[in-house]
Amino acid sequence: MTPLSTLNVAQRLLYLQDLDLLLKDAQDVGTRELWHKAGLHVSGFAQLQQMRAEVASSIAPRILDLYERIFRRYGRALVPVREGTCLGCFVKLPSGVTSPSVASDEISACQSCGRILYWI
Amino acid sequence: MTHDEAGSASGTRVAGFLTPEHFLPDLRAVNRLEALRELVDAVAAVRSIREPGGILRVLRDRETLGTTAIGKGVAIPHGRSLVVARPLLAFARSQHGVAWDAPDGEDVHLIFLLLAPDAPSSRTPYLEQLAQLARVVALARNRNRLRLAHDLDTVRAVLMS
Repeated sequence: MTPLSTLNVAQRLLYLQDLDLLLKDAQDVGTRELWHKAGLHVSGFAQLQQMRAEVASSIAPRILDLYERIFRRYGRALVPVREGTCLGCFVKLPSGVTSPSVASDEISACQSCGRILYWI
Repeated sequence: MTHDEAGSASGTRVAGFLTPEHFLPDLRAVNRLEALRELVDAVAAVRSIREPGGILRVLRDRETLGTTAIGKGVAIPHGRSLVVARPLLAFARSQHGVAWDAPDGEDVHLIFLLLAPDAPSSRTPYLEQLAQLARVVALARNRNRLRLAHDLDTVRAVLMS
């Protein structure tokens, strides 16, 4: 498994978002009921919260604060970019907006909806 | 639509995601993490997913939340992420069995990997597909057919049953 230290900031944010969505699922009554019917039970919630804290602490406070504000507003902070379009608001990005370099500690946000862009 | 009709429609949809490249009739892995890696590598090899490391992390974290083994030799690892472009199902069979922390303590022989894009619109179908898979494998005759299946058509037929 890739250690956290080798992930760039966008990958850490994605990791954080995936954990947040899983924790949200685990607290959702409908999802839990369905998991239960399928024979699946939640036992590691606290452990997952610990992992979430570890990932969050590896992200610069300025970026983490931005992520958390957007996540609260939209239910997701990161959105994919495909063919130059933000898949959060479906607005075409200006031609100057490109994927940050792999090693970059910077992120790009959609100028239209403000969500953090993730190139896939 | 009746409950049975809804279940059948869901089964048809989920079976449609299963392609020959996503059928691993003889998994080599002997533990859960190795099995997840082997499955993810297989689907990444045919470019069904990008960023396999991210997908593996999602699946590992889901296992941390609680095992996806449901007993009677079956596991349904599953996850959603924005790095998944479209819904995906892979099916693997292990002849020797994989330790998966199952509630009944049995090793796992039948593994369904279910992945979906992270979009609000994909959440409900994905959960329905998970429920449908669990319903199918709850029947001993279906599990037996899956363990003996020689080809993908048989697997698909069981999923649509």
